[in-house]
Amino acid sequence: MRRLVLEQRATPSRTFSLALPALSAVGALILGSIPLVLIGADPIEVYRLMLTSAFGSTRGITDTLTDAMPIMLTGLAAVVTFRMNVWNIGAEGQLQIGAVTSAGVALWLGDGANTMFALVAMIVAGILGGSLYAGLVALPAATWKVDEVVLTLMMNFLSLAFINYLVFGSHSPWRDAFSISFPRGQLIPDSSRLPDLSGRLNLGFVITLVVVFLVAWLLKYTVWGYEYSVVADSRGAASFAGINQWRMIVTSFLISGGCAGLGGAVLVGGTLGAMEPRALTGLGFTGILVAALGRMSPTGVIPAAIVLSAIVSSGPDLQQIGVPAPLTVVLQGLILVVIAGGEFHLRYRLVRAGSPARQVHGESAP
Amino acid sequence: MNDTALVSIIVAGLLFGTPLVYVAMGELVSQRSGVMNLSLDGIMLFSAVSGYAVAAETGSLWLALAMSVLVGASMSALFAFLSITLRVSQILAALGLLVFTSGMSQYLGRIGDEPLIGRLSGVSIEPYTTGSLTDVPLLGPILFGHDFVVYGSWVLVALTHFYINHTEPGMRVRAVGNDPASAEAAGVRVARVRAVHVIIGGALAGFGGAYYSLGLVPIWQERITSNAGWLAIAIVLAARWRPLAAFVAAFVFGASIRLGFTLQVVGANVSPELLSMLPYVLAIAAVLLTALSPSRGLTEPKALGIPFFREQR
Repeated sequence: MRRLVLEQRATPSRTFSLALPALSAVGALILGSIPLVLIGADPIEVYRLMLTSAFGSTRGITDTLTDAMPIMLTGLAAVVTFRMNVWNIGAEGQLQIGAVTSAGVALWLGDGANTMFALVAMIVAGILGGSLYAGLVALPAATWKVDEVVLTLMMNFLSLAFINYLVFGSHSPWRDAFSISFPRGQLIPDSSRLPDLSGRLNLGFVITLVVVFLVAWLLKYTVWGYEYSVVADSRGAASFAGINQWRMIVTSFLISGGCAGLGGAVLVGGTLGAMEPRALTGLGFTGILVAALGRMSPTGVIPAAIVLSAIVSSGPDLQQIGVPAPLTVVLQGLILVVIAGGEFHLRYRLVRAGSPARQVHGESAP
Repeated sequence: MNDTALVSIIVAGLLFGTPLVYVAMGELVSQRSGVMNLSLDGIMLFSAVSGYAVAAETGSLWLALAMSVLVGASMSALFAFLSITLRVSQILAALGLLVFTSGMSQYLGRIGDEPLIGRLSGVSIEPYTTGSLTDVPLLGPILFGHDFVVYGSWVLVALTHFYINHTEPGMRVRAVGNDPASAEAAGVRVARVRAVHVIIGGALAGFGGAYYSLGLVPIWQERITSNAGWLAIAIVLAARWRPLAAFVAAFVFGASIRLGFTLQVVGANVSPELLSMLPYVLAIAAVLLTALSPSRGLTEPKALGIPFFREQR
């Protein structure tokens, strides 16, 4: 019996590459049944409930799509930097600052503004806010190679404290002046609200899809996208080709932050109607999961965000049948762990030590 | 500012810096071997709730601490398997584990007929009584009257410093973190050295997490670590992977976490939301300043975050 050794595949396994997201979701659900059995709940029944509440009715579907919007955008934000091995973990904070700037502009314009103008101004303000907040990290990261993971993480905590300060700790214009004991965000005027399409689903969904395809186009068909892919493949090759890496890192950060900031704007202009700190947490981290589940493809975030939205928004329904809502967090973590583990099978296979080389395009691990 | 306020800030820094010391030393040995473990905050939470559950059920402090360390070690063993054996991106694997472990901490705290939230365990780590020594002005309350975890953290830092810089296994850790290919060629088993130090790191983080639910607080509440696991990563980076510098940083951050509370006690009127920004502002400033210092490259593990492929040398 010869020893098993790892061998790197010449090309990633294609079939497995396509099946991986589905397989990892199933794997996570199987592992996730352990904490359910622990409390005596029937996993099949729980998962069936999650499925019907997310997709079983028109209302369920529009709710799922609505909640998919912000995490689609933070997922896109993650994709835009992660593909280049730049780790912007700060979509969370960039979304929050985007919510602050978009609500700020909407409140400042007030009731009398032209609806079309107010909407565009609110959206642009959100994008710029997120973009600038990402830029604060992009500059030191690109110029002095300061670790962007740590910086973006710390910026997340800063922005969280900041939005809490605006609504809970001060009498800022973002706070509803009449909410004394239970502070909440000041509602923006109707002229800045995104029109509804169906149920809670609003125009923001269309804007989100347009941005997703725009970024996909940028990455695939433009000079910028070409230079991006060279930097992503090999920093050395990029230097040799004379590509300005500083510029690529900064621009990808700005685009990434802009996507996340737009996520804040569609929340403020859509379902929330206000800069509501309690509803603006956790979306950046879920975005990282969306990016991984979408296999780091810009358009892959669309189905990935819808699946994760179905899981995340099932919390209240779970609570009703006695399953604590954090189960949805457990499931999210498991999906990422399983999908990360599955990546391994894309790139390697097990072979017996000393056996002759197999054909290059082997599809299955022996 | 009077002496009492100053002393209480220092003592708060000592107490709230202590769990930071444990998790920072854990992150430090892991990073020195070349593996960045971003999941430590979740691991601390999972350990904290597990230890608290054991304490509430058995009433035994030692079983509770053992459980926390075990959970920390086994979760980081899972991370080591993903990132070292399977060579998954360290960042993605860690974030997955982070979400999973923090989700589990919330889930476990809410299940059962008597959920851990709002239930007293009746067990806590007690400080040593040193009689009149604590009455010595200034130094008394700073040096005396703490529990074994506080004193243990001082020993831990000395040990880590000695281990990394002055022992042969420590030298191997540095070699593996700096240049795994050369280390492997010299007969060091890179994967094993990395896995061992990732697991030690997780065990230390687990112990640090337990100090919240069994010592500092001591009840179970969600997000009880107040981001200690994240701050530890900033501490290690700002300290340029040096244990003694990380020790000092941990206490400064500990004091800054607690400053809002301390200021309220002495009657200062500052917004708690703005004060809660302080540790993170400090972290960003420290990371930027040390990154700009001329000696930044000296102690940096150059292979940090890069999976090692023996077949690809």
